[in-house]
Amino acid sequence: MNKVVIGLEVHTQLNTNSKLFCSCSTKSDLPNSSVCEVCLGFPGSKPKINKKALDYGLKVALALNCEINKEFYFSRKTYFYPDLAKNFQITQYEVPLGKNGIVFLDSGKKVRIRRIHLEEDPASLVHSAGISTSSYCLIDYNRSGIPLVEIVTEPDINSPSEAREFLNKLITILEYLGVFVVGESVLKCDANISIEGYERVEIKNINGFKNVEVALTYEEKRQRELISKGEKISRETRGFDDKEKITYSMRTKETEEDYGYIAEPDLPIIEVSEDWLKELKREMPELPEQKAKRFVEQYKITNYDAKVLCSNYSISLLYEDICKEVEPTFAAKFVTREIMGVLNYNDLTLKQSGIEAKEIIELLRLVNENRVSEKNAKQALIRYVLDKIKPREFLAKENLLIDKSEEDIYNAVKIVLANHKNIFEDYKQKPDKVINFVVGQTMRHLRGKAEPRIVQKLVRELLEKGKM
Amino acid sequence: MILQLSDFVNQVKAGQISISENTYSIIEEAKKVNKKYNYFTTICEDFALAEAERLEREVRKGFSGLLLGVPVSIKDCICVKGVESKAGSKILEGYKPNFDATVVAKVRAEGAIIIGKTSQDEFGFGTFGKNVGVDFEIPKNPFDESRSCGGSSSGSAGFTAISKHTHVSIAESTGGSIACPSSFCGIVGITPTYGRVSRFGLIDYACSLDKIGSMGKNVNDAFLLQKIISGYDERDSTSIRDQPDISILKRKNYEIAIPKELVESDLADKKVLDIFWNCIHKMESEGFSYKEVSLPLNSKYSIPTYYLIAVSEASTNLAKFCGLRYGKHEVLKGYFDDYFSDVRSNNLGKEAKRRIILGTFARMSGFRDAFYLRAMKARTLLIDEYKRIFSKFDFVVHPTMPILPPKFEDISKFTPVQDYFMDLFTVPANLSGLPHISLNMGFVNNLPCGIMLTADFLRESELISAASFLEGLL
Amino acid sequence: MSKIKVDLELLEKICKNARLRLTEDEKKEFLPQLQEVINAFSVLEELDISKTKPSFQPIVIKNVWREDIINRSFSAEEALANTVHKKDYYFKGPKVVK
Ligand SMILES: [Mg+2]
Ligand SMILES: [Zn+2]
Repeated sequence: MNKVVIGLEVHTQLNTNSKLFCSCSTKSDLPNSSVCEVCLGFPGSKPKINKKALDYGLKVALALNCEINKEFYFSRKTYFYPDLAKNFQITQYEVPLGKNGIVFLDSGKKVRIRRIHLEEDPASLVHSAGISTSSYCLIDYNRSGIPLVEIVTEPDINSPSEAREFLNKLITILEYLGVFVVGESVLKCDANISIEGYERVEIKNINGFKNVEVALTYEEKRQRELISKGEKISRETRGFDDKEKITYSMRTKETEEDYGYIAEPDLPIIEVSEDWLKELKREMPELPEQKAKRFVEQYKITNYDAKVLCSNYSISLLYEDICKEVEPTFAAKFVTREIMGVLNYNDLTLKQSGIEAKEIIELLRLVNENRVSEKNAKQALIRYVLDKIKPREFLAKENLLIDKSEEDIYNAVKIVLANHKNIFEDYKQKPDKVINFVVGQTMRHLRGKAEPRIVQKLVRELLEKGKM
Repeated sequence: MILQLSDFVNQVKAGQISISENTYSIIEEAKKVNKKYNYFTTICEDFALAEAERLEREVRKGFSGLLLGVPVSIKDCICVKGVESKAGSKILEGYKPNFDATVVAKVRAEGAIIIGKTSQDEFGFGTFGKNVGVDFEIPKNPFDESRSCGGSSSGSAGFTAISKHTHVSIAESTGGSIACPSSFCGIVGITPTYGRVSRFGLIDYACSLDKIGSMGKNVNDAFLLQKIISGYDERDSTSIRDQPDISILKRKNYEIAIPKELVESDLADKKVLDIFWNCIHKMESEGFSYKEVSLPLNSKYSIPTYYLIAVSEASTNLAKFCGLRYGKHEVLKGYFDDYFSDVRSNNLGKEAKRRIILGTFARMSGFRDAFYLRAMKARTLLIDEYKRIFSKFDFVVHPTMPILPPKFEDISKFTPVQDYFMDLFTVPANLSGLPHISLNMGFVNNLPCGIMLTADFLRESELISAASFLEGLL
Repeated sequence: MSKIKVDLELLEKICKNARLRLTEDEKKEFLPQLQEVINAFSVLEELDISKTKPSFQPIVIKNVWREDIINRSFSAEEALANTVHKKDYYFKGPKVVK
């Protein structure tokens, strides 16, 4: 079977306070409430670039192992659309800020980054009565001018799941850099996809990284079916309908816009000096791979656990917080198995889950002190995430806290044994049955507030001792 | 007797001139003149009179300024908060900016009274003021109504020349739009170094070429206004941060270069050249020295280079005009492509369409490298040629325009190419962003005729000082 | 490049890109004019620009930026003051689906 060949153009928002070319806030509530003459494209306005966005863009390029262009500039990409305040977008064309980068997948496979550039986001369109029936559109320019970084890969991706893995890796890196906030920042993706030897199709504007795999899976299947039927694949631009989970034809190559790029004459060129670059490198945070390596050395956890922990920025932070109070290998096990399990199962980000390190630390301390069973600890975590009940409160309310010490249990077992005269003789005959019986009696004596494991252990010990 | 700007301000300060009365008087004059000459697209009578009253109250509280009570007109393409600013185009009908251009804010802070927006070729697209927008009237030469007053800052020059009041105007030049009308109307026009004056609030023609400058009846008036509007502005990214002050310097025997190709050009009117040489010889006898030099690249390539850059940028700047957000709106119906096309086709004038078409062509894939990009690189060569001249000379000097103000009936016979090549004298300095001044050097058949001095980047002081001396000489 | 032939097809393609609809008279007028201008401007091909960098502005200006600070924006009323096409604080635009 011929390979599927995929290239991605990822647009993500950069987490700045103000917009790319004006000082309007990037956060807003009411429509057209965070706009000015610049982001509305009013005649007479002039753009001025946000230094933070430049820094962020350059850091993304460095993190993705790109070469930095020492001198770059901005361009006008002209096309007409109601969401484009000036009917041109300020972007980068000939000389982007970064080029020739690499992202490694888990398999060791390289996905090459062709270029990275900065550009402004268009406005958002609202269709009052469904997109096809409304006779006009409503436009909110709050998004207009929000800084985006566009990351273009070479066509090195060979399956929809590889695309998902790449995007996960990318987002994690962006999160580590502090330029992207999962659940807040916007990610849009254009994908080029072809079956080797056949025409290429571009899917435009896939919103959210989870939809990318869905769209690509649909499109790969569609193209393979056409090929098997001997039909032609036409070179075209397709859209993705995220309700129906299908792609649909938008326009063919012939009707594509000629963007007529020119250099943006209102913006001077940007020169990246050695000092600036040094400063950026100094400010670069620890990235996922470096952090995983450190976790292995510092916390003596497995490579695998370290990798899993570091593949999610907020999880890696939570883990390190927990490690301040809890034994690291135990913490790693709980975070990777239990916490990440609960989040995945409920499709939640750590932030959405509301999990706080101090609550987890307390829970794990109870486990360590044998004051709660592991089963109940897991139950407490689930209730914590779903019902926002603090684990300790939950355990107390449900009477699941073990408040008996080992000595209490020891004494209780002694009492039970003393109350049953022939117990040692019976034990020699039917050891399993007697153990179960004594454990049950002891638990009843302690009204269930004891760690069964310890009860079991002590019952065995005392029975063994007594039979001689 | 029309007072010079500084004398006028002194008399206002001394209470000898009432700001309100003077404002009323010049507004009446503007309205009357406009009926015949079409120098204004908007006369802001109520705005100006209210401003005059407000200013008088401020003066009583101790306010003063370098332009106290001075009536100033503003080219239509420069935004004045709350005042319709259309750049001479129907497509911007109704656009009232919610901000002042930096230059407007600066003159208002010095106590100037904005009296109106002056007429221009639509978006600055013209040399003769004839390319006005749909439904606009063509401005006429103050010396002969059948002739052009030059463009594109036509109204600014015409009214500065004709007014019987102290008055200065803020104009704008992309390829010669200050110098040309100054020459045709017999006034003084200063075009500064690119980036010396903030473009914030300027409705763009071509951003890498546009320069806001000043016009006055004499060198001193234009100089004072130029000094006030100049300076770094953080709202314009191409504004020059470190700029020397503009001031009148002690007289010096400057060395002048006269470009052979221009004064020997077929375009040049013999009568214009006669006055020019007359003027040069006067300067020589006063101690200036001159030499004829060659500008082979600028004389041959500046026009195509300038126009290709200008129209490429202009065609993107004008893309935003589509009947949405501001300006002329039409009934909202149909698919956006059709709505945009209708609004643009109905409300843009012929020359605007021509330049949008040429600009769209020049940056289209397949042609972009040979036209737009080539012109951007050619500009570098043309700037270098000027730099070589300025390593040896103080100024480049030549007639501002090769011709006297032409009759409208003759202009109509020009093809666009002939039209564009009429800018040969003003385009080189403008393309290179060099400061230049035009002042009247004499009359031929009662028609004025300007001389143009160009200096190296940021040498406005030398330029204005020499012009001031020359003005006294002529 | 001096051999560029400006025909109706090219003119119409340009106009489509520029969202201009020309009348038949305008087309007839503009076609030879555009050809004449392009011919005249093709003279630039004589220049050797192989080692020349473009001049983005006449003077070299570099690294002008603003800090990432939020300043006052317009109110929605101010933003919408220049248009008649508005609804519930939104701009109203022509439809984007045929
Ligand atoms: Mg993009
Ligand atoms: Zn804004």
